[in-house]
This record gives sequence, structure tokens and C-alpha cells, in this order.
Amino acid sequence: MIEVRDIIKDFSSVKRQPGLMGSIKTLFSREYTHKRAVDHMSFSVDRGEVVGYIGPNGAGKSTTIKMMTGILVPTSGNIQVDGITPYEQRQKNAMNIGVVFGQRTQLWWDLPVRETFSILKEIYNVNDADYKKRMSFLGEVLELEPFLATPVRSLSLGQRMRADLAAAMIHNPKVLYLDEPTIGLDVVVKENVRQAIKQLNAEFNTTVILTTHDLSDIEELCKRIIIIDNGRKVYDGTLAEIKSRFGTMRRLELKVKNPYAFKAEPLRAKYGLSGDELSCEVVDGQLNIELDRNRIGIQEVINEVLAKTELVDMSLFETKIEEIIKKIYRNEVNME
Amino acid sequence: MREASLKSYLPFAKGTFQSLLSYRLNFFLYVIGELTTVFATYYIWLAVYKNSGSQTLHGFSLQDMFTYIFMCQVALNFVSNDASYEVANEVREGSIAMNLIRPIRYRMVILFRILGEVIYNVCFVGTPILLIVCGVRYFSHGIAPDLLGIAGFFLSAVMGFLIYFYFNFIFGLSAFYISNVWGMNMLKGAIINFLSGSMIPIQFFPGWAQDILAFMPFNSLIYTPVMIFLGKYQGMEAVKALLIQVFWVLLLGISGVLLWQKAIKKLTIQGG
Ligand SMILES: Nc1ncnc2c1ncn2[C@@H]1O[C@H](COP(=O)(O)OP(=O)(O)OP(=O)(O)O)[C@@H](O)[C@H]1O
Ligand SMILES: [Mg+2]
Repeated sequence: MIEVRDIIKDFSSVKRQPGLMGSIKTLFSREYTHKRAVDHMSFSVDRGEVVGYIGPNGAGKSTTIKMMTGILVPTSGNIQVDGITPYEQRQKNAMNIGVVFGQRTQLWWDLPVRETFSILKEIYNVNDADYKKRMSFLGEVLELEPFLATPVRSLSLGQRMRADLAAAMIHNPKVLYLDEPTIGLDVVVKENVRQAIKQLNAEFNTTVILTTHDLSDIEELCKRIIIIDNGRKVYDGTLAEIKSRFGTMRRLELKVKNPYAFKAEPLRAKYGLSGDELSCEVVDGQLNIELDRNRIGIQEVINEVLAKTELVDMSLFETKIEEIIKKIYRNEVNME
Repeated sequence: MREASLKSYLPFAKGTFQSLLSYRLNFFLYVIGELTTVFATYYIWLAVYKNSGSQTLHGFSLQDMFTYIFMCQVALNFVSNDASYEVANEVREGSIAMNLIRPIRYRMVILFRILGEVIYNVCFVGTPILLIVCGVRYFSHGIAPDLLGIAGFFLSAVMGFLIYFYFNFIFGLSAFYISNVWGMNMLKGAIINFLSGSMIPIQFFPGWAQDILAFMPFNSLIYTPVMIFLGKYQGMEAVKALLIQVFWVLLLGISGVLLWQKAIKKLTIQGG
């Protein structure tokens, strides 16, 4: 569906010098600063895939999406979306795609939401039956009804985002680009938005490219993620794989009779573990143990606890994906 | 590819029309403001005619002048819009890029948005003034309404609307290249008010100025439709004036499209 081949995007902007003399200088000499926002990026996405495109601020995510949607022309390289080069056949490509830039609305500021949809119906040539069906589907999952008559400029952020999402989906696009679609939403709306994306993908096999800083979006929606940093791809694979490669840390939270009875040192000595690989602390009378599952079995740890004291309750957690991704962003883990 | 039909742009016109309907106070202030200016201008001319001691000035009787001033106001209703400001704003904010992700023509969006405003003004301000002018001419001077002149006026005023629209579109897009569009806009307003003949008929300008203005689009905005209404342009002369307007619509229209393409290239390559 999407082929991105070795694209580079360089931005050049006039270098500004500080001070009055500086601004006079800029009038005469045009010194440019160059910024490589996307650097030899390649990937391909199949029809129906939901791909999380993530990376720290300024990594080049939005820039990539803008090139895929045809808003920007790559400095070099090539992009094909459903056989079309987006930045060459912009209008043709536009028929196939839906786009949400969470940071800024794609709706017409002075029109009521309902009018917006009737315009979109016309320009995408949606027939009455399909329009009705999709409107009721989107209206339901995104709860549009209460603000259909409101002009876009007076919508709240969450309402605007829902309207934007519906406006991106009303023509049943083949590809949906969502650049931070959950930014600024409360938990309930966020969940609705995720459901809408999920259902749309399931029902129409829509391909979705999603960027977000909220990794729970990714966990809930994406099998595959591409991680980008400084314009370069640092990871492309499944979320499960990342978890199995880096997510072997577990957290045991135990309610026991005597939380101070258990000590980590004897076990560490016995299995030759570092402090990172097994540690424990007591919080509010509860015993919390962090362990690396690859280095020591969970059962050994529990046995040790049971030998020392009486167990009342217990829960086991995976290390949060956020922690792992954070480490990848900070180059603390080796991706090779 | 299938072009978005004209019908798909209609809601834009409807949208502005409806939002204007909801600002009733603004409307009354607008009408009062307009009428004050018109009457003030009329009384100035009245004094000028009294002092000159002659019945006609440059072929304009006082009666003509009355019609001229009020009809200029009607013609102004066709052209007054702030498309250039809107476009320039979208250029500055970068939201203009969003028009590239939809199979829709940006200038048509702007055109229809403005159209909603123009239809509103023409319906609720322009047409009433026109009726009053016709009434005064009929009842106090016995001049019957000239239907051909009125039709010609509307045709010519629509042309003026298109000319001014493209002029503004080009002006707005220049925000891609010029940073101080606001100052330019002020200057533009002043120039147009003066050169369009809406303050002083072009005929009152010195000969050399008239010659220069003949090569500019400004008198097509207000002066031409009003002269057609007054019957001062008749027959071939009226046709010629209309053809000149067509020429300006085409020239500015084509320039607008070319500039848009150039601006989009800059936008997509440099990112704004
Ligand atoms: N029009 C532009 N002109 C110059 N530099 C730009 C332009 N657009 C983006 N950049 C630069 O390119 C880099 C990548 O920006 P981009 O918006 O793609 O990041 P991002 O990954 O979307 O970040 P965020 O998570 O903050 O949205 C940044 O360093 C940014 O400053
Ligand atoms: Mg971004």
C-alpha cells in the first residue's frame, strides 16, 4: 500500500543573526542553515496494517507524514501510496487518504460541523447510502450529535478532534494518517477515538499510520511500530518483539504478613544477580519486587517469599512499554 | 479525475451568509456607517455645485452626481471583501497547506466564502439602496427606471466582483513573499477607494491621470458599472467597457492561478 524508499528531507531557512546589525546583515547576505529532518528513511506498509510511527519531539514524524500526504516534496527518494506519488498527483492522492493533524484542524473554521460533512460528501462523491451509514457509525463512536450545529471555531479541543477524525474518515479512505490524534483528549474520549480507529480498520481494512506520544494508543492499536530518531529509523518491527527483547523485567506486588521478612541479597548471591536484576522495597506495608525474568524464575522468588512469611495477596506486572521506549529514545539499549 | 463540482462549494457561501445573519448588530452599525458616508459625500458635492454656479460639471448634473454617489455604494457592496486578508492569514499560519490534502480548489473555497458575504450585502444593503435611488429618480425627476441599464449594472458589477476577488487572491498570496501584508493592505484600500472612482468620478481626474487609469483594473470595479447604470456608457461604449472587464477577469484570473502554483511549489519544497 505504502512504499517509502530512501527519502531525505532537508529544510533550509535563512540564518538569523541576533541584534539590529544582525537583522540588517540578513537583509543582504542570505546565509542558510540546513536541517535534515528525515534521513534515508525507508519502509513499506501493507494494506490493512496499523503502524505506530513514534519517536521523540523533533524526530521527523510529522515531516514524514507530510511527505506521504503530499504536503511536502522529499529532497530525494520516492514515495508511492497505492501506486500514486502523493506530491506529484496531489488531488488524485487526496481522494484516497484521510488525514488528521492533531495540532491543527483540517476543518473549515467558520462552518458548522454539519455543513463540513455535507461539503466532504460532495467533494469525495460519497453516495447517499454510504454517507448515511458512515455518518451514523461515526456519529455513534465519536458522539458527534451534541455539536453538529456548532461552528468549528467554537468547538472544545476534544470535540474538534472528534469532528476532525470523522471528517478524515467520512469518505472511507484507503489510508488514514493520524498525527497525534489523541493529543489533549480526556480518557473517555481517547478511548472512543481508539475504538473508532480500531473498528474502521476492522470493518474496511483501512491502512493506518499513527504517530503519538501516548504509548497506550500504540499498545491498543498497533501490532507494528516504527521508531524514528533524528530522522533515522531505529526500529521497525512488532511491539511484541520489543517486549520480548527488552521487556523481561517484571514487578511483583505482594501483600504479606511481614513485608520485612524477605531480603533480596541472599537470592542475588545465590544466582549471581546485580541490583538491577533483582531488587525489593517496602511501600505502604506492601512488598514490591522487581526482577529480570531471564535471570531468575518468578517461581524461585515466590518460593523464597513463602518460606519467610505468609502470603495474603499478589499481583504481577509487565514492565511498562513506556520504560522500554524511553530507553530506546535515550539510546540506552542496543537495537542491533 | 473527477473535479469537485460547483455544487460542492455552495455550503461555503451558505456558511458565511448564515454567520452574517446572526450578527444583526454588526449589520445595523454597518448600514449606519455606510449611509453616513454617502450622505456626507452628497452634501460635499452639493456645496461644490452651489459654489461653481454651473448646472453640470464634467457632464455630471447634480442629479447625476446624486445617483453616482449612491450607486457607487451599491457597486461597493459587490466588491468589498477581505479575501486578501484571509488568504494572507492562512499563508502566515501555514494552514493553507491543509488545502492540499483535500481534492478541492483553494481559490474556489475562498471565492464562495466571499460570495456568501457579497450576496448578503447586495441583498440587504445594495438592493434597497438601488430601489431608493430608482424611486427618488422617478418621483422627484420623473426618470423611469432603465431596465437595460440596471441589468448592465449587475452584469458589470459581477465582473467587478471577480476582478477584485482575483486581485485580492493575488494580493493575499503575496504573503508568501512579503512579510508586511498588513501595511500593504492599508495602502491597497486607500489606492482602490480613490482609483476606483468611488469618491470622485474618474471623469473629474486630469486627462493624463485618466489615460493612465485606462490601463488599470481599478475603474472596472466601481466606475464602469455605475457609468452603465447612469446611461453614460451606452451601446458600443458599454460593450467595450464590459469587454475590458472580461479582459481583466481573465488576466488576473490566470495570474492568480499561476501564482498559486508557484506558491504551492515553494510551500511543498521549503515547507512554508
Ligand atoms: N518548515 C520547516 N522549516 C524548517 N525546519 C523544519 C520545518 N518543519 C520541521 N522542521 C524541523 O524538522 C525536524 C523534524 O520536525 P517534525 O515536525 O517532523 O518532528 P516530529 O517528529 O513531528 O516532532 P513532534 O513529536 O514534536 O511533533 C525538527 O527539527 C523541526 O524543527
Ligand atoms: Mg509532529
